[in-house]
Amino acid sequence: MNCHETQELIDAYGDGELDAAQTTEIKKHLQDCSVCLPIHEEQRALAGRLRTVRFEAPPKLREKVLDSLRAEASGGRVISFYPRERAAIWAIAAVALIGAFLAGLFVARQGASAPDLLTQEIVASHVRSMMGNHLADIVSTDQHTVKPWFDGKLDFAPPVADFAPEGFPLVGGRLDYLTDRSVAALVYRHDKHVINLLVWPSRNRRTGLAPALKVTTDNGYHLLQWSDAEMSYAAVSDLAVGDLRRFAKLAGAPTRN
Amino acid sequence: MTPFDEEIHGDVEAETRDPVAILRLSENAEQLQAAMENLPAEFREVLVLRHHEGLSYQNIAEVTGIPQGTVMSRLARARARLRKCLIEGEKKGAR
Repeated sequence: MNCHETQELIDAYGDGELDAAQTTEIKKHLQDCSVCLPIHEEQRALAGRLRTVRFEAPPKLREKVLDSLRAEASGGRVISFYPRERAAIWAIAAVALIGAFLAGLFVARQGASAPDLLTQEIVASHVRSMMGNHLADIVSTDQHTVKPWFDGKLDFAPPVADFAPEGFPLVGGRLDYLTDRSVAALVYRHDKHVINLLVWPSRNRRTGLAPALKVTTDNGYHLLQWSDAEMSYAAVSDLAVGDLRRFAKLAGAPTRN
Repeated sequence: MTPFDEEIHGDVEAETRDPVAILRLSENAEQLQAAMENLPAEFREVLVLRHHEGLSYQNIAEVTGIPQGTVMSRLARARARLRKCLIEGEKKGAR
């Protein structure tokens, strides 16, 4: 694939809308192309920022949009068998969003919006890590080896602990990329399951809110997210949610949802 | 494969990009808000549906009633315009 072809598809690539063959070709092209890669990186950067844009709509309308989106998500069906009903739902969603535009927009400085996309990215990171041989850049069960490995590779120092005595041995660490920033990925095992614990600096340092544990399931993977004063954490695995909660508690997660 | 339409062609830019600059420009919440507000409504709409609501091209097509190929090209144009707004906004601010 040449630069022109790549640039025609690069938005769709960034949006995850291409098929596997095209995705592979573009990925390959981006590895070697100093012209196209910055375009892709810029799009990712902008996408990350755009996720923090929030729109204010009348609460009832907003709820309707969210309900229709939730119904869509839980249905897990891309193409509806009931196009008329669906058209009505989307019409409501469209009206709500137009309302949102009219109501004006504001930018959420705390970046608290659009958790679904973040969730998807975290799960994608987990899935990616188990493909091929890229689970860990540094393979070590020793927290005193893994922690210093991140020095100079990140602009923060993630806390690293081994929970082997509790049944969750540290396997290693790697660098990963989430929305618009680099994150530390700590890899643990429990029986034959892999747990990725992603860590990045918290943006909500001054909110003063009591920490809460957010539990989501996406594509069969469980995801627990929480933040403390310093860092945001996301633990993702195909482990049973009870086991993952136990792990998260060891890693400092609040027990309250 | 999503069909192409006329909107996508002619929008591929050959200039070099600077991801760091865009990150810096969009970091300022007010600048990003101003750039979004300056976009035509149909551009703002697809950006919000994609990035805020996390909809796929197919779902955006359903919500907006435009073909999927147009969703793709409109998103590309919306992003290009947003980028331009951010850069021009900075130039104005520097004056």
